[in-house]
Order: sequence, then C-alpha cells, then structure tokens
Amino acid sequence: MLEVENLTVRYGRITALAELDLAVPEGRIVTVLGANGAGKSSLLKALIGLTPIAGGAIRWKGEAIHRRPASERVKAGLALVPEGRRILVSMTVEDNLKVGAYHRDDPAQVAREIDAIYQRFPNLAERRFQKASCLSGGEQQMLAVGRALVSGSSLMMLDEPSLGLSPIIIARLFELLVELNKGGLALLLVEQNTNMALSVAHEGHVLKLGRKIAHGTPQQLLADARLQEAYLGG
Amino acid sequence: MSGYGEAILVMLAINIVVALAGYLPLAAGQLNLGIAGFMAVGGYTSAYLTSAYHLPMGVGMAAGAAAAGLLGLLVAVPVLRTSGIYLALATFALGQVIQAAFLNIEAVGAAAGYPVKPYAGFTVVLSVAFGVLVAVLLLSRTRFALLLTATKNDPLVTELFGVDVRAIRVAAFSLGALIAGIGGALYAHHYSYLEPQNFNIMLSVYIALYVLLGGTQTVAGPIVGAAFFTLLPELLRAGSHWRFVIFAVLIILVMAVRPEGLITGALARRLRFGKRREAAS
Amino acid sequence: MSGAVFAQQLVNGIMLGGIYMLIAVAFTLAIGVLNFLNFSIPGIFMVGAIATWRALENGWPWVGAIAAGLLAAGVASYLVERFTYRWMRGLDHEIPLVSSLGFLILFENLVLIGYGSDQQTFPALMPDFNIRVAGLVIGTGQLISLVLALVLVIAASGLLERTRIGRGIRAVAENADTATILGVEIHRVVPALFILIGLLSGVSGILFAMNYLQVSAFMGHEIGLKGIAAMVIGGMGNIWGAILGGLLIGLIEVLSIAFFGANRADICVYGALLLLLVVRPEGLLGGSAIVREKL
Ligand SMILES: Nc1ncnc2c1ncn2[C@@H]1O[C@H](COP(=O)(O)OP(=O)(O)O)[C@@H](O)[C@H]1O
Ligand SMILES: [Mg+2]
Repeated sequence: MLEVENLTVRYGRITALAELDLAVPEGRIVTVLGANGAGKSSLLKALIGLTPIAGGAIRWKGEAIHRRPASERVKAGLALVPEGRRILVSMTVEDNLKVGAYHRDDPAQVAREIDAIYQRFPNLAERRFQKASCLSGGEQQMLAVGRALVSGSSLMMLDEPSLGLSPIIIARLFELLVELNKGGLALLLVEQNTNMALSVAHEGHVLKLGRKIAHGTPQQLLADARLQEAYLGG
Repeated sequence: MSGYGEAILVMLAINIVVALAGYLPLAAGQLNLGIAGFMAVGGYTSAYLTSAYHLPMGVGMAAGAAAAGLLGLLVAVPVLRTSGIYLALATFALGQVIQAAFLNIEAVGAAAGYPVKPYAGFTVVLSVAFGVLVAVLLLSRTRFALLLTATKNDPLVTELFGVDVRAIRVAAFSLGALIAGIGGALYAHHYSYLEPQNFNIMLSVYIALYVLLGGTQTVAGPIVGAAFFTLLPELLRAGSHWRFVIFAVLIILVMAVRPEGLITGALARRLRFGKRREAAS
Repeated sequence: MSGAVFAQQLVNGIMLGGIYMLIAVAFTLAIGVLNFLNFSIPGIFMVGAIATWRALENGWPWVGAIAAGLLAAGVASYLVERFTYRWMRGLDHEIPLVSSLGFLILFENLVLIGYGSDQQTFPALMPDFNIRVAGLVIGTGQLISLVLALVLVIAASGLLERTRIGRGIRAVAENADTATILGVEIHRVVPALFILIGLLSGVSGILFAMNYLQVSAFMGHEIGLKGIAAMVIGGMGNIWGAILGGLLIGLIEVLSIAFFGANRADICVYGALLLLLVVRPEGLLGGSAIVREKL
C-alpha cells in the first residue's frame, strides 16, 4: 500500500535519512526502530509532506505522492500522530477532532465517528467542550489517535506514541493499536520502546544515523545483535 | 558647488545621521519606530536653548543630543522589557506621545511652529554628520559591535557567555536616540523652522525602512539606504510620489528576496577583500 | 462638566469606538493567527473608501459602489498576503511587518498620484438625522456604523468558532506544522484570512467615509494607528479585546478632548498604549482567545 524507495531527507548539510527502502502492506503493522537522531521522525514527516525530500520516491496505492502537498496526502488516507502529540491546546477537545476531519465533506458520518471515539474514550467525552490543555498526557495521546482516526485514514503513522506515558497507559495504547489494526487499519509505528513495538508489529526496520541497518520479523530482530548496536551506538 | 547640489548633500547628510540612529538599535535586533520623536527632542531642545538663552549652536546641539539620549535611556529600561512586535509598538506609541507633547508646549510655539535662529550651513551640517559617521565607524570596530550582532542573533546564548544582553540593548537604543537627537538638531538649525507635524510616524517609518533596505549587518547598510532614499528622486527626475512608489516596491521586493538588505556582511567583506587584492597586485 | 454633558460625551466616545473596533479586529486577526503586525491595514481601509468614492463619482449606484470598494480592499489585502506573508513564512517576524509598511506607502502614493492629496467630498448615503434618547443626541449614521461593526465582528467570530475554515485558521494560528499534518491547506486558509482582514478594513473605511463625508489618501493613518492602540489595549489576538479596546480608545479620545482639549488627545491615547505595553503587554483581556501563547 505504501512503498518508499531510496528516500533521502536532508536539512542543509545534515543527511537525516539516506536512501531508505520500506513498505507497509495493507493491514499490517510495520515498526521503525532506532535511537535518538536515527531519522525516524524525519521519515514520518517526509511521508506526510511536512519535510521536503531530497531524493527517492513515495508511492501510495501505486501513485507517486511525494510532490503532493500534505493536505492531499491526508485526503488520500495517510494520517500522522506526531511526536509529542501536538494537540491544539487552544482549542476544545471537540474542535481538535473536527480539525482531524478537516478535509471530509460528510459531516453526518464524521459526527457518528466522533461519537464512536467518545464512546471508546469516556474521558474525552466528559471534556469535549473544554480546552484540550486540561487533558492529561494519556488523554492527549488518545485524542491525538482519535484525531487521526476521524481523518478516515487507512494508514496511521505514529511517532513515539509511548513517550512520557505510564506503563499502564502504554499497555492500553498498544491494545488499542492492535484492535484498530484488526479492524483493517495499517500502522507505521516509530518507537524507541523496542519491546512494546516488536510485540505488536508484523515486521520491523532498524535505523542508525539515517541508514537502515536491519530488517526482519520481530523474532529475527530480537535475535539480531544489530538491534542492540543501534541503541548502544557500538 | 551649486545651491542645488548643496541642498541635496545636506539632505543626504541629515538622512545618513538619522539612518545611523535607526541602525544602532536594529543591529541589536530592535525595530525603533519612534526615531522621529527623538529627532524632535534633539531639534526642539537645541532650538530652544539657542533662541531663548542665546547659547552657541554647538552647545545647543550637544544639549539636544544629550536630551534625546537621556530620554532614550529613561524609556529604554521600561520599553526594552518588551521585545519583537511589542517593542516596535512601544516605540511607535512613544513617538506619537512625543509628537503630541510638542504640539502642546507653548514655549516652543506648540502647533504654530517654532522659528530657529542660529543657522547651520552646508559646512556645519556636513562636518557634524561626518563626525557622527566616524564615531559610529569607530564603534563598529570595537567589541560592542560584535555584542550587538550576538544579541540580535541569539540573545540567550549571548547571555550564557556572561554578556549583559539587557545593558547592550539599552546602550544601543539610547545611543541611537542620541544620534537621532543630533539629526533633529541639524534639521532644526538648517531648515530654521520646526513644526510638530514634521516629526510624525511616517518619518520614523521611512527611516526604519531605508535602514532595512540598506541592511543592518554593517555600517555601510544604513548609508547606502539613506543615499538611495535621498538620491532616488534626483536620479529619476520623476514626480515625487513615484519616488515613494518605487521605494515601496523595492522594499517589498528586497524583503522578499534578500531580507538582510542590500548590503550584507558577506558582501561588504568581499568588496573589501577585492580591493585589497587589487592593491596587492 | 454637568452629568448630562458627560453622558453625551460617553455616547460620542462609544460611537467613535465603533469605527475603531472593526479595524482593531482586522489587526488582531493578523497578529493572533499569523503573528503579523500588518501595517498595510490603514492603507486597505483607505483603498476601500477611495474605490467606493470613485465608483460613486462615476455614477454607480451605491450598492455597486460599496461592492467595488470591498472588492478593491479584498484584492489589496490578497496582494499583501501574496508578497509579504507567503514569501516569508517562517522567517523573522519583522520582515512581513516591514513589507506591510511598504504596502502602506505604496497604496497611499498610488492614490496620491491618481487623485491628489486633497480631501475629496464623499456623498451622503446615510440618513443624517439625530435621534434623541433620554436627552442624549445620537447620530443615526454613527449608530448604524456601531451596530454594523458589532454585527460584523460577531459574524467574524462565529466564522472562526464554528466553520471549517475558521477551525483551520485557528489551527494554523496555534501551530502551522500541526495544522499541516492534519490536512489543513495553509495556502488556502491564509489567503482566505487575508481577504477577511481586507474586507473588515474596507468596510471600516467605507463606514468612515459615510460618516465624515470625506476621503483622502492619508485617511487611514489616524484611524489605523488608533486601531492598533485599540487592539493592543484589548489584548492582541483577542477579538472581544479588540471590541473593548475600540470602545475604550473612542472614550479616551472623546473624554480627553472634552477635559484637556483636542491637542492633548493623542498624548492620552498613545500614552495609554505605551503604559499598557509596559505594565501589561498582554492587554486587558489577557492572552489571546485565538491563540494561547503565541507571542
Ligand atoms: N529541522 C531540522 N533542522 C536540522 N536538522 C534536523 C531537523 N530535524 C532533525 N534534524 C536532524 O536530523 C537527524 C534526524 O533527526 P530525527 O528525524 O528527528 O531523528 P529521530 O526522530 O530518530 O530522533 C538528527 O541529526 C537531527 O539533529
Ligand atoms: Mg523523533
């Protein structure tokens, strides 16, 4: 469904991502692992269209999309839950969800989906007309996921969603992700929390300083010394 | 030299002085939209002291500069608590208040205007302007200039290096005000008449704009900006409004494609380097 | 000053504030969403009024003339977006500010070249009679302006609160990157906002011309600059603050003229602005309703 070929991202002279190949087949969970600065966020930002690419191609359902603006990519079915969640704290919980559905022209259906999200997350429902700044970290993460859901996406990309959450909340979050995936949603999951990510993923890629150093099933990667190396910087 | 040529040069000299007044705070990252107010303080102070107390013009001008600088120092402390847009707004408000204040001071003619007696001719204006220019050039070779740039580029890091960023800002702002006072005094004594309306917000705006057009990375920037602004109508020989139209279009274009202004530090270095190479060969 | 005279002055101040309100809202939208102190607004105000005046001179019916004025103001504001904000997005906030000053000079001098610097007479379009309520004299023209201004501001606020484009604008206001990844088309939302800003400025210019029956190239200066003061006093980025600030500036101006004379009014108005910037830069209504911590 998503195919990335030879993708390169640069910031001035810094090469954040070099010639990366990666694919997310329909309905799968693919994880990208790596230490800080490995280029994981750059990958997701390039995929959604926030960061321009310096080379390579991004194909979505067979079409090259790397020259399209972010708004069209979102419309085509990509969604990003960004690092640090990026909730719009000056807006209400409800408005955050509505902005998530910004490009959609079916308000009745959107309203039903928003209701479904409230049913899933009663905490959000209670605070729907309050500023999102009053939410806890866990609730904000749920809102960020909910926001990506109402965009009607078929691939949800998550940038370190477990960051800063308590173990209980992390466990709940991953349960949710698995459940969403069972419902047919493909996931591209960027994590530093290797064990959690590999416990849910179908396959994984390991990045180090912008280059892919390993690729395989969770079992293969857990047995692979290069995974440890990616984090220990060896 | 012809009277016409002299008139242009005098205008250029005064414009360069006030450009330098706008340049100093801008070099530290502060957009002062109240320069005209400080010019008014310098001009009126000098005019009053020379007319009412018959002080010599030099003393009057020095007092005008001091008054403007002192006022700058006084307001710098509260005004520089703000930064960015707030600072631009605060200086704008200050300029408006000063202009409105002179509209009410009967001792200097209030709204009717104030005739200024001692006359500063061509030589005086050009000498004083030259003096100011040399002083700013000397200043630009000291550590102070580096600190200005550092303050502008990254105040936090500069602070970490143990520099009192606040003091640098206050100094740049007050020095600018002082120079604006000199510019105002030159204006007063050359044109021999002061009216509060002369020192309106648009004057401040034009000064800020031609400094930015020239560039705030080197002293050459404001000079080029002032020269450009002064000489453009003479070069064009077009109606005076067209001059502003062209100026406005240039400002918009320069800000879009080269926001550092026409003269950048790199360009100035390259020119200087080129000259040295020529001299060597 | 007797109680009745004072009450009359209060009424006059509020009426004057109605004119400042619209332009303060235009400024506050630009600051609140884009962090852009848009000095071209007084120029757009003037463009709206001048275009309406020209159309009337050419014998257009007044509905058409007003439409022409609004169109001109909208186009002018769009040009400002095209050549200031769009080129410089993400750069130093001072750069668009400087370019917007460039546009102010450009608009004014083009009008000077076209129509000279004289005040031009603007034909009377509104019924010019006074209503008396409880001994107070209220000009109908001013009253209509005040009501219209309030209606427009409330409509603009509703647009921001309840519509899709309004949510997009607020999302961009808080964080342009986040808005982008959520699929908000910044390249559509921002021009739309500029056109809204242009229309509000244009309406305000046309209302001003209708009330004072004259237009000129520099008509935007005083009003525009007081609009800035109103915006700051209310709280930058806050629409309701702009309304409050507009009314306050109107009152300060009228009352200071009454108590200290016309020449002292600017000292009071801009003195209040300066004082506020120093002691409470966030304005009376605190931070911004559009954005929390933008500046
Ligand atoms: N906006 C930016 N400008 C310059 N360099 C950046 C920028 N964003 C990231 N980088 C650099 O790119 C590299 C990869 O960063 P990033 O993609 O954020 O990695 P990760 O998400 O894996 O921690 C790092 O060296 C980082 O410093
Ligand atoms: Mg990251």
